[in-house]
Amino acid sequence: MNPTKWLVTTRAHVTAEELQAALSPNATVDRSEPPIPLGEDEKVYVVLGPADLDRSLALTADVLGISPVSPMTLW
Amino acid sequence: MSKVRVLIEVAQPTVRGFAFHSAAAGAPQSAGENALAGLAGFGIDVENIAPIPMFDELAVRGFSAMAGAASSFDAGASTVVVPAEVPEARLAEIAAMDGYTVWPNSALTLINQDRDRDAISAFDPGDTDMGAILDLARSSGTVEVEPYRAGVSIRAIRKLLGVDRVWGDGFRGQNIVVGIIDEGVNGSEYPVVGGYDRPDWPKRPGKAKITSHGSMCAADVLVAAPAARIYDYPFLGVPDSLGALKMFQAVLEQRRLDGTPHLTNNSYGYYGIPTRAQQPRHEVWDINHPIHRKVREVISSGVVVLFAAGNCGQPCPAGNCEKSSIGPGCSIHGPAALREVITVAAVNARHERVAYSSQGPALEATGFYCDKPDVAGYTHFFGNFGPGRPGGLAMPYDNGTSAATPVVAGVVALLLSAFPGATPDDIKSALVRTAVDLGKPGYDHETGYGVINAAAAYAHLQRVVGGTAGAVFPLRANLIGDKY
Repeated sequence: MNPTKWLVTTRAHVTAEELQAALSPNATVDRSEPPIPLGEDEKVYVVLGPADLDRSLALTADVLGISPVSPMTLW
Repeated sequence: MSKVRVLIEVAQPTVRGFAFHSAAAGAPQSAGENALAGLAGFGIDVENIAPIPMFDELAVRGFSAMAGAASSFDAGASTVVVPAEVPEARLAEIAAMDGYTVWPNSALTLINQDRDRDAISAFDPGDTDMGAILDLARSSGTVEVEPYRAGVSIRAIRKLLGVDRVWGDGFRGQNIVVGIIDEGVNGSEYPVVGGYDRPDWPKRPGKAKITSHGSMCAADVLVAAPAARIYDYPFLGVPDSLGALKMFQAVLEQRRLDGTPHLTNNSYGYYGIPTRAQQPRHEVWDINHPIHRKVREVISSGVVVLFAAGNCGQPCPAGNCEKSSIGPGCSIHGPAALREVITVAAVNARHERVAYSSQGPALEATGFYCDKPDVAGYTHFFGNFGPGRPGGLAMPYDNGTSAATPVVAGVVALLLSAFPGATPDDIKSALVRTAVDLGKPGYDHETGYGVINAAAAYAHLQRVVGGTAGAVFPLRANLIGDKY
């Protein structure tokens, strides 16, 4: 089954390696997608993982949130 | 090969029109085939209807004075119209040939004899018919259901928008760049001057087919703002929130570099709603989803952001709308439910809400704004699609809230070209305060504050913002240094 795409918001100083270390073994940071800056001190990584990653990812002072990537349609 | 019903007007040596038509009635099909003899080999099927002579207006003037049971008066006709079915792939070729004009043969419906007597022309009405169009747009708040009426011309939409007033002062959207976040725009036909252009992205700006959804959006921006230019931000494959997030980041980066684009058009959205219990962080429930935060950042940077309300309204939702996302309270959500964006519903040229246009209130979710849509724009007209239009007959006309939104975007571009200092708040305020209210007086969740009017919004901004210096790009620093 294809992994699910997630958006994980971290503090701006968090590197891809540090985020990878915080993830469970069945989730990986998508290095082909450069992180997208958000606000003054955050950024968003694309993470590939299981469909329930939002329930298992532990949020910390540096890993701030996880959000789904939902399909859309052209109207 | 699919064929379309059209009317082919053929130039020919002048005939006595009435006599010709009477004779043709005996063998209508062969008369039609004779008239189209020059198109043999095009795979045309002539309908069994006698060719119709077309008279010069001067030739028929005074007919009533000569009428009589035994009148032998006739008039010369130098063209005849032949109803036929033509292979769609060869339409453009025929239309380009000397001596032939291809006209649409659009479906009609029975109409109410009083109100609709002067029904809007399916093609391009002359100036004398424009009054009828304005009269028909009565703002009574009705709904157009399937089967939908024929489309109208761009000229009719421009008239309804009142763009002449703004164009007359010299503003046609010049020096304004509109970002179109969509499936891509055709840059051969439309003025694409930039966009999302990265080595790791397989799509280049301006390389989409002319029949693309993004090309339709580009055409519709140019209805009100023909001098505007386009940035093309193409999604890959199925659009999703990550794709939109990347595009809005690119908008922000470009904005930081040179202050463009000035607005973005977004004619897409979610078509299903999971329950909050199932997916509490889904985009329709979580106001802090990165896509919403990025959209707000872009607006804070001075960009006007427009989103289509969606096509999941009742009673005729689009086929891809899931049951969870149909009708009032369910069909507007996600970025379209952000307070800061301009959310656009769709009406036809008669000011009837088209029956699929999504209805408010927006999905009730913490932080989102329930009083959506904000305004309505026009749809169902010959912009990119339609007879003689760049996209041809791949669709009968530009449609959806997808078309209505770039029409409003074009008006925004027009206003920004006249009032470059106007903020997104100024623009939204001007649009909603001057919209033509439809249906019951005041705001409603069908068409918001009403259908936008460029002339009225322009007059409003003249009073509120003042000055019409026009939009200019900042001079390059070295130019300023060198010259001055």
